[in-house]
This record gives sequence, structure tokens and C-alpha cells, in this order.
Amino acid sequence: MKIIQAQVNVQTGEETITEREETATEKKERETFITKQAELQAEAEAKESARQALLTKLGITEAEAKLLLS
Amino acid sequence: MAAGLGFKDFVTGEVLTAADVDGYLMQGVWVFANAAARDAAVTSPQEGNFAYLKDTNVTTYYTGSAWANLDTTGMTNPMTTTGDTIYSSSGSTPARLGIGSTGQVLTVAGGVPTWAAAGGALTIAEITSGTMPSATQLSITGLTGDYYMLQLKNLTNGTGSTDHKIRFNSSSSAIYSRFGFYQYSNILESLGADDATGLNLTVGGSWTGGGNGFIMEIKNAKNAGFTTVTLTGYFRNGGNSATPGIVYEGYFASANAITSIQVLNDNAYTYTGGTYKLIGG
Repeated sequence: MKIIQAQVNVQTGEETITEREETATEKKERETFITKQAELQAEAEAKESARQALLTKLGITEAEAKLLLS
Repeated sequence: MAAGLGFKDFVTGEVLTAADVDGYLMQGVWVFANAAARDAAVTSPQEGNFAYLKDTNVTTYYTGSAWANLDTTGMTNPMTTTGDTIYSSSGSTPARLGIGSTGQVLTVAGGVPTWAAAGGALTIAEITSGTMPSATQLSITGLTGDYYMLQLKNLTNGTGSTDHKIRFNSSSSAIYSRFGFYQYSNILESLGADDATGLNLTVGGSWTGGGNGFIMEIKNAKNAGFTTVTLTGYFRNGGNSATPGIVYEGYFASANAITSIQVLNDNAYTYTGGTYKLIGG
């Protein structure tokens, strides 16, 4: 993946754009983040499925469940 | 020559012995033409003997092992004016430092004390601002100040979810440490893990960007030692009904002065919107 870095030098006011390939470290960091993000997303979706299943089992709506917990 | 015997109060009719003459009466300051004449006359000096040398106008005394110069063993007072102070200049020579002006403080320049203007309060002003460029990273360089406040608003990077982070000096190998909390799905979660790659502004999940704002305060950026940070932020979380906030304090464990700040995101997405502003002094 390309890394595009915009640089603003506050001493000279110069603005530059440089483009390069991501380093091995940056690639590893990005892939680690993507993996972690997918895990979090899967966890959130599993919780949502379990919540919906429980509402169905109880035969109540989400609003009614909130009313019970309030 | 006999050693000095100290003080004696002679009484009427008392016999004055040779020892009394040598030990009491001869214990004044002897006057000689020079050191050679002194040494020739006083072949066996005793501790406490005094001799004045006319050729050099110096008073000497015998320490018990050698003749010492009385006139140079004391310090010549260099002070001349009210408020003067004395310090040791090259060769331990006493030197005069005249009083400074009102409000000045004593500091060091060139290895000696000197008066200088007291450090005043920082003047905080805008350093740079603009819209986020169409790039994966923004790097603000050429920084020389000690205190900064970085403000970021409405960062967007298309539709992809990512976490945004701050780096100093482009370093991804130092320790960025933080502790605080963030709101997630209507509960508070703690933040505490150290990270070598930067200080995150957001926290995982399915955040899709937009409608956010962050203020990061950066202190002790110029001096040797760690740089400390404080972050207060808000970011919309597209996957939850909650709208998370984030608050933490932390530090950048590096003794290097901060000369640049980077804004980037974990997925290396290209920014599509948002603004930045850096103030400081």
C-alpha cells in the first residue's frame, strides 16, 4: 500500500507531498489492526444476534425490554 | 630563634630571663631586607614567627614547615558598589559581579554567573491550520516550541473503519503511554496499554469517521525528558447507538525535543475531510 505523506513546515510555510511504499513495520501494524478490528466486529455481531434471539424467545420488542430495565 | 610563648604580664621586680626576651619580647614582626636575610638570621624558625621583607613589602609567617606569605593568603575584596557579589573567576581569582536590573535573575553563561531577564510566560499563538490533505498522513514539521495544543475536527477517510493516531518525530519505536477512559456502548472502559506506534485518538470498533473532534495538549516538548499529553475527544461510532468520548493523559517516553507531529490512521486510508489547527509557543 502507498503511504502519501503531506508535510507542512511551520518554519518555511512549505507544503509538500511525498509518496512511498509502506514499510514492513507499517504493513505489519496495519494488518494487526485489521485483524483486531475484524475480531471486534465479529464479537459485536455475535452479541447483537444473541440479543435478538433473546428478544424473540421472550416475545417482546426492544422498546419493551428497555422499559423492563428502566 | 625561640618559639613564641604567648602573653605574659610581668610584675614589678621580676627578673627578665633570656627565655622571656626570646619567647615574649622578640615575638613581634621582624624586619629584614629580603627573604635571604631572614633565613640567614633565623636559622631555626618556629611556628608563629613573623617577618616583614622590605624588598617586596610582604609580611611572612612560619607555618611550622615553611614561610608563607600573609598578604596573599587572604582575599582582596573586589566589591566596589552596593549590590555587588563575588564569584570565582579563572584560577579561583575573586571577581566582582555588579548588581543586575530589577526583575533580572541570576543564571549561568560561559561557566560564570550572570544576570539575565527572567523567563516570562509563554505567548500562545496559532502556528498552522488547514484542511486535512488528501493523503494518508499529515506531518507538521519545523516545531521548536515547548507547549502545543493540536485540534482536529471532522476527520473523514471515506467509508472504511479505522483508528486515528498521533506520532511525534515520526517515531514508531518509542513508548507512548496513556491512561484514561472512553465511552463505548454506554459504558466506560479503561485505557492503559502502552503502544510503540503512537497515541490513538479513537478506539477500534466500526467507527466510520466524521462528526468528531479532538484536542491534544502537549507539554514539555522542547526540554530534555519525557513529553506529556492530555487528550479530550469525541468520535461517532457507527456500529453502536453510543457516541463514544475519550479522555486520557499520557506521555511520549523520549528525551528528544518534539520537532514534528504526525496525524495518521491504522489502515493507511487517505483522508477525505477534516481540519487541523496547531497553536502553541
